[in-house]
Order: sequence, then C-alpha cells, then structure tokens
Amino acid sequence: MTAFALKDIAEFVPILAQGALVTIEVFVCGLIVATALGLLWALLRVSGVPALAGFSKALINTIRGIPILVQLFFIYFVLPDVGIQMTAFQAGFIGLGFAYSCYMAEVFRGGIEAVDPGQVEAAKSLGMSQAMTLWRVVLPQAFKIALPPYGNTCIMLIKDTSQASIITVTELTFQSKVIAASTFKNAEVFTLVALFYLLLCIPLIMVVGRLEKRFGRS
Amino acid sequence: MSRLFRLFALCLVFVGSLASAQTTLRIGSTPTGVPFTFLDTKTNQISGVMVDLIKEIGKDQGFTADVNAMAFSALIASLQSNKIDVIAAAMYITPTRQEVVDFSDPIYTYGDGLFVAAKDTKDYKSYDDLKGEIVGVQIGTAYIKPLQASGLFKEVKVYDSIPDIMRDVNLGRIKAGFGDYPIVAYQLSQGAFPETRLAKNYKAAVVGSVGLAVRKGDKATLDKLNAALTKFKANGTIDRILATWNLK
Repeated sequence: MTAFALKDIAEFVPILAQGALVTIEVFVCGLIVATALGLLWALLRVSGVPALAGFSKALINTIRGIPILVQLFFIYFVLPDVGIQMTAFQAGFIGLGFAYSCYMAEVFRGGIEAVDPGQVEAAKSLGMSQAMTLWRVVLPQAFKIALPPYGNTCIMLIKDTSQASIITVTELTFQSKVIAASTFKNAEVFTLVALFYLLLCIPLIMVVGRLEKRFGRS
Repeated sequence: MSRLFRLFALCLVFVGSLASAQTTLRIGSTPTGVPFTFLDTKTNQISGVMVDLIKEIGKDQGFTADVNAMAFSALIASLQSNKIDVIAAAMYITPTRQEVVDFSDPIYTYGDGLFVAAKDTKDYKSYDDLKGEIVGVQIGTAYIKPLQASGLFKEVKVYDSIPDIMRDVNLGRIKAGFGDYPIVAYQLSQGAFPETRLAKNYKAAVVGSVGLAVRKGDKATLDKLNAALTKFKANGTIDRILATWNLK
C-alpha cells in the first residue's frame, strides 16, 4: 500500500466511523422493535385463539413476502401521502424493526413449539394457568432453543441496516456511496466499508457465541 | 470434414469482423436529468439533449450509441470499470473529474438553481439566506463541496436524484435544494412538484459546462467526439438540439 492510499484511509475513516455510529443506532433501535414485536406476534400465534393466531400468521407471512427495501420505500416515500411523516432515521429503524419482527416471531415460535409438550401437560395437571405455564415453564426453555437462530437473525439485521441507505439514512453504506461518488476511489472506500462491517459483526458474533455457551442447551 | 468445418468457421469470423465495422459504443446516461437525459415513460427510452447529441455524433462518426441508464453517481465508476464507453449526461467538466476521466469540448454552460417550498415566499439570493437550515443536494455533483465548505448550513443532505430532493422539499423535510438550473426548471415546468418553486433571484454559486466523458487515455473515442462537436457547433446542430428541449 502506498503512502497515498494511507492518506486516503486517514481521510475516509472518520467519515465512515460517523456512519458506523448511525449503523449501530439503527441496529439497536431496530433490534428492540424487532424483538418486542416478534415476541408479541409469536405469542399471538401460539395463543390458541384462532382470530389472534390467524391475524399473526397472515401478518408474518405478508411482511416476510415483501423485500425489506420495498417496505422501507413504502414507509419513507408513500406513508407521507397519507399523512404519516417521519425522519429517515425513524423510517429506517421502524421499517427494519417491523420487517425483522416477523422473522424473529418465527424464531421464537420455533423455540416455543420445540419445548416438550409433556412439560406443558405436566404444568396443566399441576393447575398452572396458561400464562404461568408460558412464563415459568415454556419461555425459559424456548429461550435456550431460540438463542442460536436469534443471534443469527441479529447478525443479519446489523448488515441489513445497509438497506436504509436508500432512504438517505446516513449510515455506513450511505457514507461510503457519498465518498466514492466524490473521490472515485471505489477500491479504497468499499474495502474500508467491508472491514468496518466486519468490525461491527465480529464482536456481535462473539457475544452470541458466549451467550449460547452460557444459556444454551448443554 | 473437419477441414470444411474450419473453413466455415473462418468465413464466419471474417463476416463477423466485417459486421462489427459498425462499432457500438455503450453510453451511460441517467433517468432523471431531464432535459439532458431522462427516461421518457411514453417510449420507455432514455431521451434528452445529451442522448440526441451522442446519437447524432454516432451517425456522423460511424458508431451505434447503445444508451444505458444508471444513477448519476455510478457514471464515472462504470466508465472506469469498462461497463460503458462514453458518459452522455449533465456532467460538469471539473478538475476533480478530469483527474479520472477525459472530457470532450464544452457543450453547454449553466449554474446551479435553488428551489424551496412554494409556501416559502422569502427572496433567496445566496447561500447566506439559508444559514442554519437543512438543505439537499445530489450525490456526486459539483455542488456538494461548496455547500459543505461554506459551513453555513445545519446539514447538507445528500440524495440520489433531483426528484428525490424536490420530494423532500415538498414534504418539508428540508428547507431548500440545489440542482442543475435547467433540470430543476424543466422538472418544475412539467408540473411534477407543484408545491416547489425556483428562487428566481438566486445567483448561481457553481457555474460549469457539461461535456461528454470517456475513459482516461481513450484518445480514439475522444477525437471522434470532438471532431463531431466542432462540426456540429459550426453547422448549428447543437443549437438545434438545445432548441428542441427549450434550452436555447
């Protein structure tokens, strides 16, 4: 690498770092929305109430059937026509959070349904209510089962934040596009951006691995 | 039998090479740079001043112009990575760009235009009138640096295309937008963004000339383009094309 390339790196890294910060913000906000809503949809789906389960199933399948990019376009460009205005950042994390909630719902549902039904029957025979069974017996075990796919989905989410660049959220990918368009140094910029994403993802992967070791199935 | 086959193959190659005497140059243009380059939804073709020009040059110099649409910010990258041979778009000849591509002779000169919400009746004359506001500009244009360097604005938001900027001005997400004056004027005259207006008394901060661009060192193509341009400037073809699009 020539000294000239090092000069470019010194110039680009601060701008990309700002973008990385926004990426993390979108990721965290989106993750909170996705986890909360995902848990809700999953519980609705296994609730046993046909109306709720049907609604949840329909929602999950519809949202999973539309590309996240298209959903982001909708939220940012189309909703204002019906009066729902929000900033790019809000549209970004709400859009990603909502889309990912449907994938999370399936992850949670898989965990819940994988818990041995015998446990549920045993809890019932002990006189536990459905809510208590869920809280005390099912969810703790479902958590362990769902942890690996949940972690996997988190890692996917952090990279999918790059899609928010298309609705002008100033995250990492967006910043790289702007730098590349004005300096034409595509090789340097996009290599740096790839490294940045790796730097963001690898700690996440390690954290998920640690959690699995601690809480997961032995 | 194999000798016959070889002879046949040789004939094909010969004929093929004759056929390709009419070369095709891949042209890069944008779909939203009306009237310079834009996607005409009626014909589903990329049309405009620069497209008409490059096609005329093609007729004059003996090549077929195969026009491809792409984002403005992708044009130079595509040229450098050999995905296109010529950029025919509303692209200023600037020193920064001249470091990476070669430009033809200048074709048309204009400056940036400022547009704001129609409800906003303030008389904007320069950057100073927008101090502390959020403004929008297109990615990859020569307008970004001066705006950012001025330090006057709360934020300089970067967009993919001028219609995107106009949409956000319409929605009130940003106070004002900057774009090529002819493109902005044309968009507004077509009635696409009724809640947006041009600041009539705004003095352009960045004036430049557009030109066609080729890969650095592609002298053969550049000479063809310049030869045709010189001819067209003399015989009025350029003026004719500009007049068709109300630019003269």
